[in-house]
Amino acid sequence: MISLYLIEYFFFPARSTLSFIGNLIIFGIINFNILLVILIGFLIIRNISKILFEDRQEILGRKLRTKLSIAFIFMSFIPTVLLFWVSYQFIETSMTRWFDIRISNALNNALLIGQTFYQEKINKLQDINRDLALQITIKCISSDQTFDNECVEKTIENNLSKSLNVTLVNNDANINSLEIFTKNNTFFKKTWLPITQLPGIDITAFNKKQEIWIYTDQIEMGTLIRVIRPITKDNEIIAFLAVGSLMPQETGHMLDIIKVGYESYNQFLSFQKPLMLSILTALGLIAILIIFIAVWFALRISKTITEPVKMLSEATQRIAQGDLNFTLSTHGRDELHSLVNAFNIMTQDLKEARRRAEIASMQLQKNYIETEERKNYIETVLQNITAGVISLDRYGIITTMNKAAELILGKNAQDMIGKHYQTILTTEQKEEFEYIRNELLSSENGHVIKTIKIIVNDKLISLLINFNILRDKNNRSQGVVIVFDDLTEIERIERQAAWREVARMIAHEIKNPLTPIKLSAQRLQKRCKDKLDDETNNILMLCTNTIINQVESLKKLVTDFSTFAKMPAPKLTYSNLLNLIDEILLMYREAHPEIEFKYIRNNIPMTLLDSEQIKRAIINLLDNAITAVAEVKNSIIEIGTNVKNDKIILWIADNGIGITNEDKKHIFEPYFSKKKGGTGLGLSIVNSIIIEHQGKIEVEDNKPNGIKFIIELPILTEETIMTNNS
Amino acid sequence: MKKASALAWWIFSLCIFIIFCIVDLTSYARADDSPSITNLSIEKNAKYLLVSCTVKNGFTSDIINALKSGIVVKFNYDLELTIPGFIKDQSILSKTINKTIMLDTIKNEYRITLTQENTRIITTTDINDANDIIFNINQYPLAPITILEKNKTYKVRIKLSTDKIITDLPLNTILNTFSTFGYKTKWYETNFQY
Repeated sequence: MISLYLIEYFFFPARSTLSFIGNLIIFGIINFNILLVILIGFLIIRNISKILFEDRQEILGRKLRTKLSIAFIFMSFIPTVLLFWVSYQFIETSMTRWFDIRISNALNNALLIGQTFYQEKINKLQDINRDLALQITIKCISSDQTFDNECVEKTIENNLSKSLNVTLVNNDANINSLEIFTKNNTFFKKTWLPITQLPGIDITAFNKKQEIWIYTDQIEMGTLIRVIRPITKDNEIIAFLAVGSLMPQETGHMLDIIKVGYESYNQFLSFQKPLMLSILTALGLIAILIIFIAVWFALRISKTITEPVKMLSEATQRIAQGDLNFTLSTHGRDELHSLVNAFNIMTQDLKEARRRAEIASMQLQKNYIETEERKNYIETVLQNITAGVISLDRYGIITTMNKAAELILGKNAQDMIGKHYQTILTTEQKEEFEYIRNELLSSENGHVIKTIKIIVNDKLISLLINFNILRDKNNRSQGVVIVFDDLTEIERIERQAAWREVARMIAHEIKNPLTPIKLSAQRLQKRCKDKLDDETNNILMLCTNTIINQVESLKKLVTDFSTFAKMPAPKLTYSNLLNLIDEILLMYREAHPEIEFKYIRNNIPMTLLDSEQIKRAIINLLDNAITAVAEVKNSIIEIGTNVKNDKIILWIADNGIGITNEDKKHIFEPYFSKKKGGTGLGLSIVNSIIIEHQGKIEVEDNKPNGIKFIIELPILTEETIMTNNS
Repeated sequence: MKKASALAWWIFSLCIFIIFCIVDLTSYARADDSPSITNLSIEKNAKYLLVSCTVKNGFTSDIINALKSGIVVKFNYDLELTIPGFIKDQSILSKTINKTIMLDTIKNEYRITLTQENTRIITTTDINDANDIIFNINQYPLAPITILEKNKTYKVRIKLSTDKIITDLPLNTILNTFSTFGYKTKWYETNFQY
């Protein structure tokens, strides 16, 4: 405030008629306004900056606060601006009326009247003064430039009585004083006023250029106007003649009123623009002050409203993030603060509820973990057992299928689960399953065991299936669990073992008498050859040869049986299968030039195998192929090698007559032969050899005709064997 | 808090600057017929250094209107005697001559008050006489020659300004603040060697 005062004093030095206190008050009000405007402006800028900052930072409650602030600002801004505009219009209109041309003309005319009145009075005095001065100069001044006092008095009296008469009668001149004075003294003085002493005249101020000099003095009765003229003789001023007239107080006062009115009006007129500007500034300052105060209040009020909302919002977020360990502080008794209090109570309730929920949750979690563990254990058991397990719900929908079931049935559990069992069964299987279902429903203990054969991927497999109805505590059926084992391999092994036992017994029982039979037949030939006639001898030879040949055939049969029965364990050595095939093919190509042997010789790694057994297997397969193509023109036998999925693939295909699908199912079984004179053991032996090498052999149709044997042999190393054994 | 204070001071300074600009511009923004000082001359007599000058276009239309409205107008002549310096002149003395004029609208008479050595009042009905009295400085004794040194260069500079309006109107000070009335000339100067 003091700084502003100093600045204002420096820039606007106060030289008005107003008192110092008046100036102080006026500038005090202005300065107070300026300071308020600055202060509130600062507060508004600060608050608006805060709002903008909050908007950028996306602080909670900012939108509400902005909206409230804008609403409050508009609510204050519009009436203030309206009031400002109306006030301004009102003042402008008033000022226009003040400075109306009629008032201006009236005042100008009044002034003109005043001026005319005054000037006429002066003119009259000037005339009288001039006449008197002339007469005195002519009559009463001697050649030595001295006054004849008697002459002066006489001249004055004569003229005065005449003038006075005229004045009094016509009332247009009123001589109230007459003075003649030199530079040194006054030698004639006469007044008709009730005063003893006329005001003095400073003749030093007289300007020589002037002919007359008008001197006015305020005296008790009014204004004394004196017209002073120098009395000259030979162009030299000898004395001064002053003719005075009193302007009565009332007349002077009226002239003063005219003068003051005119001057005030014109001053106001000349100050019209600054006046308007100052009023406008004052109004503007007040309007700005009101707006600023309103804005500040708006910001304060919006803050008061939004602060608890912001606090609640932040608290809600904290609760949403799980933090309940706080209490909102609140003051006041309004609804928002009641809301905050209610919020605090709610937070405490939530905290207590969460504590209880946490205890319950922990218990549940414990139970869940236990259940999960149990479930996982069951799942693990289920997935790791060799038996296939499938469960159906009470509506026949497959709900569970373990890995073993997938392997046995060649189906993917993901594809099966959720499907109705009937959608995956063939018509025959449906009938069989329906039969089992009825049996199951009629069984007392809800348990049925069945052995069935089904075809999976063109293979006939034998399954031992155990059907169990699942019942809950209330003995209500929840579905069926089907547990099944693949008996195919067991059956095959059992069958093969049985066959081997049979072969061993046959070989043992047949082989022993064969040698004496053969020797006896040969002895008969030797002994009877020379003793019998030719015809008898021929019959004998024919018969004994037949016996010997049949014995040889039997021996071969017995040897095959024996070989099959006594299939030794393979003696594994690192061998190259390709060399083995090369050697065999060389022999066969020479022996059977009519057959085209195609050899697709892809590189394969060395592996552990029993060369003799594998060689026997390949020879068996080639012999079969040669037999198959015997009656075919352009007979072709293809032998090939490859590596697939880390396994050695060996295939032997022919373009022979081929076999039926039914025959394919039994082709590796002992004593199954479609060949004339075949023992039916060759492919069984091949199968045994390949199985002993941890491989497998499959048969399929060759395109366009014939059959194709595919052997898969693992790439065996000592480590893999040890791993497999362990 | 520091930032807030700094901001407040910036706003305050800006307001002052704007006020200063408004005030200053109103004083200097004048056309070519603006008042100017001519014929600035230096003489000396036995005792004093005498300054003479004339002001052209001293009675502006604003001033005439103000006088006709009965406003008392005060003219201030600021005179300075300095020794010219490289950056700043060295001031020896400074004086102010005040001349006040007012018009009695009834008598149509100008009343001029001269405040030099002694206060003197001159009345005249002729505006030209008033112009001569107000705007002529004739051999004004600026400084006694005893304070001057021989063969030294001095500078005399002079400026004319009017006081703010003196009226009996209410809110005179505020009106003055917003009024464009009055003027001040630039500094006119002349160098001389004693």
